[in-house]
Amino acid sequence: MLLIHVKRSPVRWIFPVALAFNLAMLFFRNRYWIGVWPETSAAAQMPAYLTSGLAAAAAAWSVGAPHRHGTVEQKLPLAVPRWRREVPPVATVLLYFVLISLIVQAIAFGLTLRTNPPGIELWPGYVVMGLTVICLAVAFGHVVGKALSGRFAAAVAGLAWFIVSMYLGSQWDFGVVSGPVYNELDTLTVMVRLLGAVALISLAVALPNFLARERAAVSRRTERRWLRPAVVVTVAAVVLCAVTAVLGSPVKGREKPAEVLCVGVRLKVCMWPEHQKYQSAVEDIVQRAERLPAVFVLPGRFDEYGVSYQMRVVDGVIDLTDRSGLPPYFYIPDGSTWALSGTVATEIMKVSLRYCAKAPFSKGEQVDLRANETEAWLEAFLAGGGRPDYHTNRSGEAAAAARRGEERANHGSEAEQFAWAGERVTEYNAASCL
Amino acid sequence: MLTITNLHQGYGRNTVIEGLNLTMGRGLHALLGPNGAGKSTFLRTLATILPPRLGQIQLDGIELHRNSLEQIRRRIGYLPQQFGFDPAMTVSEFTCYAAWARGVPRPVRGAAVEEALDKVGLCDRRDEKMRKLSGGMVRRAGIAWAIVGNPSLILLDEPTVGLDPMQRINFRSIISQQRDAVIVLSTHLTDDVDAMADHVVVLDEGGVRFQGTPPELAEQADASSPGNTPLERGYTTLLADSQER
Repeated sequence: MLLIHVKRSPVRWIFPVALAFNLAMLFFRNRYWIGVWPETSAAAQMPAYLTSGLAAAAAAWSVGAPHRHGTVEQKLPLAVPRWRREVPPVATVLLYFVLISLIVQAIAFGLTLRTNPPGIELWPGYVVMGLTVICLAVAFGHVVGKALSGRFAAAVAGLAWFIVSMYLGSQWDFGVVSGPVYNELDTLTVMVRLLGAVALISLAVALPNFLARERAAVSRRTERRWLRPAVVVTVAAVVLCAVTAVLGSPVKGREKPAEVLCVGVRLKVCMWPEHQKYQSAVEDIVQRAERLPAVFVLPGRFDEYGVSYQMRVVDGVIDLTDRSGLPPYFYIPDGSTWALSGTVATEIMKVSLRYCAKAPFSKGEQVDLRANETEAWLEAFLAGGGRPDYHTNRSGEAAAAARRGEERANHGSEAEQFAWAGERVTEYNAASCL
Repeated sequence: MLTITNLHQGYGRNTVIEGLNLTMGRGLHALLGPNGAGKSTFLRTLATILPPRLGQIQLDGIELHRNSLEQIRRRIGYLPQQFGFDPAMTVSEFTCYAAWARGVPRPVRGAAVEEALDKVGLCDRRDEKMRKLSGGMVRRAGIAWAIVGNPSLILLDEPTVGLDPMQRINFRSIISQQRDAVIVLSTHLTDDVDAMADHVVVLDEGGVRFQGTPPELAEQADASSPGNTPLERGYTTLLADSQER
């Protein structure tokens, strides 16, 4: 029976559109995820979250089919109970959208598998997270479709799910926009959530029809037939939802890695082994830093966030416990190595420039601006030139100074740049605090 | 054998059927009666959609509303006056769905579908989409829906409404072949009764006004009663008598 529904379901017409939309979500948002397992996993999960509204709409449309086709009356005295007759259509919707998600997952998986980086064990949690959202959307759409049999049910379900999913995503982490390397998903929590979502689908199927027209035609005795399964799935769904609430967010900080990936000698930069994709870019930054004139003091070591301390999430806030004596840390957010060059530049400036220790922490506006310009140059130089791939809230003269620094990194020979920068550092250190 | 004893049925405070007693054997039983006589309510009660307020209904000795509905409903085929279909399904899939939903076991389901399609003459159309069928063929597919799995009670609510004369003749010929079950066919048309029915039951004001064969109903005719055929005159005579009472 499932095969008949799969062959004849109207969802088959939106399948290619939904698949194309999912693939567009995967590839057109960004592509930095390729080659890094946690980011790949999160990126492959995200389309399911963003397009789950379609699944909700399809489920609502599907459950309303007997009303659209005028088969309500003739199905009332059928031997197979109503809830069992609802299983093939709801399973069909689920099958199509799970298939879409799995195709997207498989493509993303294949792209990252080519470079075979470490961290593949982080993958399954995100797959389960994506499937959970689809299940929840189908359960939601099914209930809406039962409550509103009209043609608007699908639109209402899709739009309402969009709002519900935004809440679930932001407040309960039912979807994540990215998978930072220092995070992982708790297996127990995601599995409980998936089971809870499946229980909610079962509950949606077991629920009696809300529509007066249909309910009036169904005897109380007929209703009693689905009472037992409805009670069972209700209890299961309530228990699993309660456990889900107790378990909280599945996103948790990872234990620091047993082995880290380090590059450089005078300046050592250590990162998560999962970030081997960035090794050559980081090496380039380190080599540029090591070529800097002697006036620039190198801090010695930088660690990627989470590598050298135990990171914990307390009440949703990242708690960096006991960082005393540990090297400064950096991120590679969204695949940006500019964040590393910025962090390295700031730390080099901290140890190379004699900043003012007392308020107002200034050596005069023009001197400070020139220091800003130098730091911007250093950041751009370490990054290998170009413009930063992020936006800042600098404005006015500070922004102009930063812009000048970046421009300088893109023009002139390295020797000329070093000479200019060396003079700037010497000049700053010679100036007196206000 | 369908045995109905002291059946009472209604909606809210309205009583539609009151103290109805009836016995129906295998063969086609036409259910005649004016609008509001309770024909559809009676069929829906037999179909187990509505539980009786009072009374008993037994099919082959098994009480309809006191046993496992799933078991009972496997033995009932029901085609309402307004029936629908998924236009994307083929004739075969439509019938297969009915077989599945009636609880026909998977190993024999295919054969049951073939048998039903064969009986209604749609074997050569089995792969055609329901939306492409003519009105008459849709009605035949509807009969296949009702008879697949060989139920022992087949309930047809005004199945010839909307059919052209040729389609109605075809329909009668198909129904006339189904003699292994108790078939209860509700209709307004006495020529359907004349052409198909083994027995006639006339319902009026919630009770049985007549039960017998079509010739016996024709014998009720009063020469002054309106109607084009003896059966029609018998029917109108019966209703006129009822109204006078």
